[in-house]
Amino acid sequence: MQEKSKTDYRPFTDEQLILQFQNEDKGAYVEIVMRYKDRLVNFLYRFTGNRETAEDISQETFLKLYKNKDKYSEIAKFSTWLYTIALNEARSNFRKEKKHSAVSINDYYEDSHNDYQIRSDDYNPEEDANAETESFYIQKAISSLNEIHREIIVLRDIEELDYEEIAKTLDIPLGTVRSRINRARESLKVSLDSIYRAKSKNK
Amino acid sequence: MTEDEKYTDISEQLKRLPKLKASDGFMSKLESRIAEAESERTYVTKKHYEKEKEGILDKISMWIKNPWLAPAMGILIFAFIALYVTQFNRHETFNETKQESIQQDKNPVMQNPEVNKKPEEKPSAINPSSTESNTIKENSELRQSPKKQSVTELNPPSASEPETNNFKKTEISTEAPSPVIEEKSSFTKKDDSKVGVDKDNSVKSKNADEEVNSGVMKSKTSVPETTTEEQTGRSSMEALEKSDEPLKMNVRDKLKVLNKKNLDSLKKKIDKK
Repeated sequence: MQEKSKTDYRPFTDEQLILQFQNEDKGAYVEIVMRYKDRLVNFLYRFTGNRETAEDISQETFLKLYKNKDKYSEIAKFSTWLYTIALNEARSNFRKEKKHSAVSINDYYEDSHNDYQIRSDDYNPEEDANAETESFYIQKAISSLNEIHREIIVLRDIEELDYEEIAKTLDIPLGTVRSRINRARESLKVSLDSIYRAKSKNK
Repeated sequence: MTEDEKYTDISEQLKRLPKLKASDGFMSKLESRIAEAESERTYVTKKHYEKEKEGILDKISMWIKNPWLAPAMGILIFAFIALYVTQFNRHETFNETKQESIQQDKNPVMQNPEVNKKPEEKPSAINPSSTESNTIKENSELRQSPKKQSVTELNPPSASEPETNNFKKTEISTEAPSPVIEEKSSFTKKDDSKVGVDKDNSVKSKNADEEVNSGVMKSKTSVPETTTEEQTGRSSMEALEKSDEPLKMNVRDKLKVLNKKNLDSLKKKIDKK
């Protein structure tokens, strides 16, 4: 890991790098980690809502990549393969946490759930999004979504993967991806409205 | 209006979210995790290798742990022991037969112990008083039928021909005493004529005994006769040499003694003359 490879890996594509790593070039692995560590941490943070957990899962993902490097075949795009690993890790972690904690994130918003249906006219979430706490509330809204909606919205709107990539990562048809994204956005909008409504009520 | 356009406001909000970066210690943590995993992997592979290297005894002990396999194991062990014992016995008997055959090839005389005993038993049967008398008898036999003896000695007795040995025995026992007696009688007569004065029987017998003991036949004192004796002795020696070693040794020694005695007697005679 520490070895400073003299070769410049920047011009290499992800697929070339993983092929080189398959030929025991650890420098290529380091380059892959450098390219994807921030992206993965960000993606996993948006998915889990916890920085530590995000870092832990992303490290686990890279470790899996290290162990199972030979399982990668050139059929799939490397980023898709890596996101699939990360997502599977995140899902298993989420299930573990769900088992351990009796109170889920959804329970946190249970009291205000009935307010989702009512929209206040004096509150504009777009204006409030400019505020410093915007990201915090959005994250809250994302976390309030169910697992399926959360993962697809993060992949599409945060990681900016195209539909085909998402379809491959989640192993679902393209049409399902489209419909699922729409539903996820709709529920996110509702979630955000409810959060801001609750916030305005508290004010 | 596309699906993306429908929700542009939310998607833009999501895109505007600050991008989180990995912490500084991310790489070092990952490095330590990889090292840990590698050490674990080597441990696992080592364990797997050791498991693969498990000996037969370990596998057998594993089988024995299953109680329902005990009778099968018992039968197997019994069969193995039985097989081993039979094989061992077969091998032993084969070795014995082989050794016997080798011994037979090397020493055919050993097959018939009577043949070995012959030269020792003979004198006691014929004349147990003295061993030298035997030598005289043998000498006489050589004189009478040197060829015959050589032939019998050239063809060593075998286990398959015990009758021939018996025949040889009888031949020796029957033929041997008669010429000695004849020679003795002739010897005494000649001795009497030569001495003339001493007609005492005791003296005669003494002289006879002395001369018999010396192994010299006074009736055959001529030089050419002694040469024929030597020749016959040599021929018998040659014949003996061809025969088997144990017999050869016995007969050779005896012949040597005989030859020495003959030579001594000749010398004495020459001295007397």
